[in-house]
Amino acid sequence: MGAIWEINEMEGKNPVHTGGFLTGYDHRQFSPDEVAARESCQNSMDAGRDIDGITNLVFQRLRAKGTQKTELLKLLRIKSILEPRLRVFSKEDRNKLFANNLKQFFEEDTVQALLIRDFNTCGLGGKWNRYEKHDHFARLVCALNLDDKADGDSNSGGSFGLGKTAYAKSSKINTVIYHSVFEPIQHNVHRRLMVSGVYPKHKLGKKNYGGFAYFGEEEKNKPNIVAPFQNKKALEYWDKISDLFGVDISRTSDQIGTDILILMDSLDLGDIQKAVEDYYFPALISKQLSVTFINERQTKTYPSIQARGDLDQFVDLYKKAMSAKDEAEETLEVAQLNKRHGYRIGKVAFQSFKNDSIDKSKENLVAIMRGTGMVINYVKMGSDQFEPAVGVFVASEEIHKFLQFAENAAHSEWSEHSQRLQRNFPDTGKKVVAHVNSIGKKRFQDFQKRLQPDVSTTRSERGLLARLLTGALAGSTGMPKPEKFFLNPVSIHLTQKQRVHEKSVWNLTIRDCENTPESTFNLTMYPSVSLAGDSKLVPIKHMHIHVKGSDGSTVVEGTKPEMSVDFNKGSKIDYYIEIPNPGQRNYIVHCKFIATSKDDHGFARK
Amino acid sequence: MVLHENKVTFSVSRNDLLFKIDQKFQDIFRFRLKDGEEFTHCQGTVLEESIGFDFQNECTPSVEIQPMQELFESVTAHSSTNFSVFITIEDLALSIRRVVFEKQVSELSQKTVVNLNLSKYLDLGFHRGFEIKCFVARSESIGYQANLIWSKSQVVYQTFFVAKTSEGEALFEITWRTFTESSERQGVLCYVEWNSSEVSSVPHTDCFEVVANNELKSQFKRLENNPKFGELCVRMIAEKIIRELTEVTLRYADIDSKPEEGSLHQKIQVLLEEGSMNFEQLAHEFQNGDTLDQMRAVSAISRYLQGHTRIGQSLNKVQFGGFRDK
Repeated sequence: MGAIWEINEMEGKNPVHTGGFLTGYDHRQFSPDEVAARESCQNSMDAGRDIDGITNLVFQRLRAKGTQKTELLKLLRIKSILEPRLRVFSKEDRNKLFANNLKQFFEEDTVQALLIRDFNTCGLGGKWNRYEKHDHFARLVCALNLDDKADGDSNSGGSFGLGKTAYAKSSKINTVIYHSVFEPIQHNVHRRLMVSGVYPKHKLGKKNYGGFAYFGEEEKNKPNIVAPFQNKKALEYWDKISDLFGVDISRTSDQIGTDILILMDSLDLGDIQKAVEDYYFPALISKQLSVTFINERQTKTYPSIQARGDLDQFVDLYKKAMSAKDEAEETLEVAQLNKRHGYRIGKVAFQSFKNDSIDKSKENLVAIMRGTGMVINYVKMGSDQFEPAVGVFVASEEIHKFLQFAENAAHSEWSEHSQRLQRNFPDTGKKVVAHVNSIGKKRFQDFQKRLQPDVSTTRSERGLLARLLTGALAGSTGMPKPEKFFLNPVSIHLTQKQRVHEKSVWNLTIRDCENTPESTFNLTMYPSVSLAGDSKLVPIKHMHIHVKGSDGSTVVEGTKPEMSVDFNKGSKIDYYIEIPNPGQRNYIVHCKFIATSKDDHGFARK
Repeated sequence: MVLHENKVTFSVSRNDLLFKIDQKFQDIFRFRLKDGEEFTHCQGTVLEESIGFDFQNECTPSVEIQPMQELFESVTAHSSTNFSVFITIEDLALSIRRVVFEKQVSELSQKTVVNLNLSKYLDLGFHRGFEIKCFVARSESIGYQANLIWSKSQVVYQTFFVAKTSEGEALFEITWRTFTESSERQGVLCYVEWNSSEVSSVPHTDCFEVVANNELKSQFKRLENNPKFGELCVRMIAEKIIRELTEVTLRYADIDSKPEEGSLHQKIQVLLEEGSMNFEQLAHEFQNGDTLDQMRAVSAISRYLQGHTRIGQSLNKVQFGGFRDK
């Protein structure tokens, strides 16, 4: 028996293919990083729910270069399955992006990957080829849409069996390695590894393939069917992968938990951290979950909720909502909601929006939660017509079961119209969820309406009334500044050529322009260089200067030299103004011009 | 039509500086006008307010200074030993400047924040605002030495931040009064209280004051800040006040002589002229015309002042959604 790839063929009625896998999960408004963060935290917390102690989750950036990358491809025999199909994928428009990514994967010297690991969880035990509730490996790696995970467990985060698609979809080549260590089961199996590919359905040769591909060990007496690598073989594969990525990601037999390695991922570690902080701060501050981020330089970082100015209000309100105390102040309300249909509804905590500490984008949002440690979502409940506020709603445990079935696959909202809710709780489910949605909104808007705007404490009278009265009684505003009424009859360029210890040289060029009159006029020039004093560079003393022509001969010199020329259309004059021994001082270079017309035509006015 | 001149004078001017280091030093000083605000690199005029603004109590300026020894020495190729960072503050009305900070460049090894408490300068009022200058120059303690490259008046680098009054615009003072009568405390919002009928000869501030109910001050401020109806309401109140000022002025103005500068007559005259209305003609109608003339003048003034205070535009901007469930 060896390591091979198995890829499913499409046969019979309702043939199995990856289309549903890739599109079945509606991620709503969440970004890919948010989806990956939410699903990873949720799966880990669900897997750690029955285990004592805190669930540990690690997001680690890995990179394999050069021969290591080549060796990785060889180890996983990825080329054997995908290279022959590259041409097929490239032909179809819908698969062009995937084909390009695949090409890039083969050709580039480096491949990056994101490793998501959890510890202190139950791992992926159970039978790998059966789909009962405790067959975790089969359910995560080999199946989709098993929606009975949460049956009987209203604290479960996941419930649709679709969240796992986030891993494959986060890989640009839809390829993920699953490795897990768990309590020994039959035949002392305690470790498994399998590679899963979710590739577009395609036709190769005469066969139609559904696209679900698995790399593992060929099953005994079942040609072309693979099972996960187990125990020693799985360990060897994982250690080899660890070596090829050049970091120690080994997992001993007593480190129960799961490793999910997303090859060629499209995720950003920083964005994942932000999403973990945004959506899992309840679990983090209540010590149900611990998350570590490791970048490729092996630097570790941790969620920093306190440093998030846009989250601190929600965190404070969550703590208040979790306390037994109700509060009613001018800008704060913490209250238990009344029972409805015989069920406790939950608790709300609202507070006026703190301009200085929160991101505007979270204005009028309420963080809704149902005991999973996750913020289901930040839902806009407030109206922009009133004073801005933020809030938290923590559902009572008594209604968790309704809310769980009222959630969509992305767990982004509670809908009283959910078919699963109708199916499971046809009598009260819809009424309770509808009440939760309406009471939350109503209480929040009532709170907003009660909020009075802040009154400015400024000592100066700057209100609109004062400004309007000021404007009306402004009186006359004086004479306008005199304006320059003419257009310069020449074009002037004064640029520095050099400044060294012995001299500073400026080039003064005078050319004709569109305002130069046709007839000759007299142009008198008064170049000067002044020592600049004070920080305002006030001219304080005229310096002795030399004015030279373009041939280097001195035209004039002195502290107030004067030059006069006849100028007409087509004239061009070049002078070089030299400041001898400029030293360590600042100067102002100036030239005044007086143009005098020799006839009655004069110079152009504006 | 293009006219011509026979003799014109013009000029050109450039600075010939020893070092052109502005770009390199621009991150050295950052400024904020009030506690809690972010520091910014923006220099120049950072605040412009009407005359009467209380700069001394409303502003709590601070300057943040970055360590600069390494930059200074690399740019100037000179040791920073004899150079210091200075911060000065100038009262723009009194033209009095105070050095508030001086520290050697070499001693500024870490980011330093200098808070300028304006209220501690009891002899300065900052009536027209203030200018804060931050610059690097020769240390005060260094006497004149021939080998120093700069004279005392020259600076290596300078930036400045100005908070000042805008020209020709004074804040209007509203008199917030606490009424003794309960019915007034509850019922009155604001009105014009007339102190003199000499509208053409005494300063307008001696002629009248706008009195508002102090009990309603907070609510009035909320109304002013309300983005929906506030602006419309306040503009209507303003129009009513200005209309009363205009009508009373027209009635009592001395149209036979020129109004004194700063009198209500002079100010209302300018206001009406902005709308191409003839003050003298209207005043004549008010004072000598028949009843219908006066009523027509009132209509014309009302029409003009509503336009001037932009009442129609404010109503047009009001969004009415979201208030129906009340």
